[in-house]
Amino acid sequence: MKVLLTAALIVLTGSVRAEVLLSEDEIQQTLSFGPWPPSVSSDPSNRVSNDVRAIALGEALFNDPVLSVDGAFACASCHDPGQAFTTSEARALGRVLLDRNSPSLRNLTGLRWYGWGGKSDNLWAASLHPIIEEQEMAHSKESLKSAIFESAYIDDFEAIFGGIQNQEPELVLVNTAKTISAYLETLTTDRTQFDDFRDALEQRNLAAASNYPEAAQRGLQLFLGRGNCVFCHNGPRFSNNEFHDAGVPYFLNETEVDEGRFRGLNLLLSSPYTLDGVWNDDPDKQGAWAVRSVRRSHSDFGTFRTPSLRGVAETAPYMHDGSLVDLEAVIRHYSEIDTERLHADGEAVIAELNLSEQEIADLVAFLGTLSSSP
Amino acid sequence: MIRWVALFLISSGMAVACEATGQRLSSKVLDAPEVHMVVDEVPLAQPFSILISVCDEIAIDTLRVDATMPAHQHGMNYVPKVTELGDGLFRVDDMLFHMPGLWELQVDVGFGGEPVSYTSEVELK
Repeated sequence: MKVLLTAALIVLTGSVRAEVLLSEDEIQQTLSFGPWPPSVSSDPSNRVSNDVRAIALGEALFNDPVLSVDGAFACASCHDPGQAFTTSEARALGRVLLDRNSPSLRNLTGLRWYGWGGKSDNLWAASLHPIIEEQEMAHSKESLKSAIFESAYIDDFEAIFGGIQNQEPELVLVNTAKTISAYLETLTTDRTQFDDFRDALEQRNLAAASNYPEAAQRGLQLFLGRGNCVFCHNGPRFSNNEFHDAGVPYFLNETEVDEGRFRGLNLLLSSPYTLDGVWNDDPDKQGAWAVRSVRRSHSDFGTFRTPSLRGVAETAPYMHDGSLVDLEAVIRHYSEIDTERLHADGEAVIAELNLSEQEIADLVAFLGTLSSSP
Repeated sequence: MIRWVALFLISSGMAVACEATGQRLSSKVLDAPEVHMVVDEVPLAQPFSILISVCDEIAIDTLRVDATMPAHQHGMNYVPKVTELGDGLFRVDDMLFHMPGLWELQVDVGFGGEPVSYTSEVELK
């Protein structure tokens, strides 16, 4: 049932009519994208989660090239705080040009999987891998221990974790990653125009809700309906945090492919740094059910984690390989998608949408309202 | 959760009152033993648990649970964990429906070597 709700807004210049275009069913779906910000708790797998000293040390290390073996670059080199914790490059530049786009690092607390391929099930492991990846920061456990010991951060490190000389190099690596994780937990996106709209709908304040632009409302209707976007982009973070084939080619060159979730699972299941491992500080191992029960499938090949859409207007370019330059290109990709590129044995969710120019503009307008500074 | 606890307490103290607990699952097998399911609200893209009660005195060899989205040609990304609680009652953990829409739950019960399939539909918004 389509209910057109009209609210008269009195402004200084006179009377303006604005509408809430959503049906009751669409309003109920819209409420599921909030409230924002969500309530979050400390990470039980990280004993320094929410520790102010660890957060400060993590922030300092994140921005310092001490975490790369030769001091060549810092975490912030690819995750620039001034660019929504990503960069405008299509693919990250480590020691070589990497295969994937640098994801933004906001709203990461409490996810089930991390990274485009989901090779980590917790934030400290996701923080640890780049430090020791050969193509990224390239430390060994031993060289990292030496670097921290010789750095200006040794007093702060030892104040949190005790004497470094009594710690095995692997413990120093994990402890370092846990300070980075503690810092990343503090990075969140602000409330947005969409959140004001969503909360006004919840409060049945139609006058306030009608301040939300009609183009964005039409875009939201497409997002919930014919666009099928909500199948994967759901919940307050606009992500189901699972893995899908979005029809983006996964060939890296003529002979190599990015295996996506398939490789991510191989790495996850051979990693000592999961919630089911000995480095988890939580005796109850909450959250370890996922790595224990995750199902492997041929259809994992070439699938990638659904990115959050919070702050999405600030994080171009898009997709796992950064191949789409702006939000309009993303919408056109789904509008004109070649379904022949999709897995034959994959899920039948994505289909050619054949959106009009107006519809494309409306969807872009909606996505823009998910950022506080589009 | 309240409903789940109630079912466990009732069934652990007396014979399972299948007619009064949860939704009866359907089977294409004539005269198949009754199987019921109790589930609280199913959250989207978050793990949840269900209780399965089997109303028959025939020995149960196996009980497996899975779910698919027929319209999307995919199932769950996790293998549910089944724990036998006694008196024909089973707890199923690690269920996760990662998309809204119609899910088809399938429960396969082995009765003395004879497998019987049961299904139920769950609409998730």
